[in-house]
Amino acid sequence: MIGKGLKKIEPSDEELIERFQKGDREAFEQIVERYKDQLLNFAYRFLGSRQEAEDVVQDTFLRVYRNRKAYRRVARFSTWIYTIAGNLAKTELRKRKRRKLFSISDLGFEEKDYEISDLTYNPEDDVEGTLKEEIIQKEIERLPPKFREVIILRDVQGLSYEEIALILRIPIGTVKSRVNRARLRLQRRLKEILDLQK
Amino acid sequence: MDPCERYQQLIPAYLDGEVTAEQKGILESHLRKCPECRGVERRLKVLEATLRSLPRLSTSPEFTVALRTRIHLEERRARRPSAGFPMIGRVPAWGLLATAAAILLLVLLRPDERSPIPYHGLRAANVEKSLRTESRKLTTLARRHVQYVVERVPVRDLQSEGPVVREAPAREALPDSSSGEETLRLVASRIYRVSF
Repeated sequence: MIGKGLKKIEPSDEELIERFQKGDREAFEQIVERYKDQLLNFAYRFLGSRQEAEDVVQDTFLRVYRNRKAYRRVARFSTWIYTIAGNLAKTELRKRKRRKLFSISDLGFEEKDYEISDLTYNPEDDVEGTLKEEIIQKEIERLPPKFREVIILRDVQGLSYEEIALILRIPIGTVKSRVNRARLRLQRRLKEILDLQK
Repeated sequence: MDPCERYQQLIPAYLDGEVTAEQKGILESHLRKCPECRGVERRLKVLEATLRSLPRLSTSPEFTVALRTRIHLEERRARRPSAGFPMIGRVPAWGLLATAAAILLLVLLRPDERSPIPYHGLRAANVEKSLRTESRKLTTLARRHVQYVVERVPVRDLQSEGPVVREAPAREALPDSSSGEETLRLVASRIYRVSF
């Protein structure tokens, strides 16, 4: 019987955005469902603030909505939406830096000293769970943005080097070398935690 | 440069299978005799697994409703261009007034940046107060840092609502309309910097 062994095939992202371009609002809702959590995780790991991350994801979808006609099938939809989210996250970071500089410049602190100097790591603590995750997150945030974005996209989100290169519009060799440098840096700074893990 | 550092710089690419056969041979023979570099290799492997298994966050329960609301507001605004408002520079006068109101609200409420839904009681009081004077279907408080959007919905819809309403503890504080057929519902506790 025809169709008996067929599973219901989920539409691709590209099919969904094309349907949305033709006016299908339901397709947009499906895109939101598909991407909201993964973009939130990307933005959260990059910014370290859940609230700012949600703002970035909201703004990303709003831009997709507004600029839906700008999408062309030559690029993968995921590349397009990650590019938007990445740009918004970087803008958010710049805004925050300006706020921070403005608020602490009078005190004469270097931004670097201000980071996480009070977060001392003690191996006696319970490294399983929140504390460990917090320390890792802080170290991710300490990476310069250009290293941070690639290691999140590659090692947290699991995207391919090719896709990251397309998202960031940089050569694939640059992506690889940044990922490697970011990994080495994190490996050094998280030595105690990583050594405890089997 | 520490002689080991050059080897260590190769290790991430080596683990990715991205080194030449020659580099691989040299590195592997070094790793066999250098415990420090073996430590780096081991830590890099653990790091990769750790990053991949970091806890995953989910968007807040009001996320989708808030997004729909923002789109709705934007479309409504696009349909009705604000003609006839006095302009100050390139900004309409009402915009400046709304901004001033937003700043005042922020000063009064001081939302904690890191906790998304902390001050329902306090904010609900403000919503209720503003509802009494607001007759539009959608009520928004403040410009750019909008805290609440309230929508008029039939009671039966409200009762059959899913998690959005249950997640909004301020609902009880909202006034019922006189007919009893309709009530005001908190659509989203936070509207993510709406720009009007």
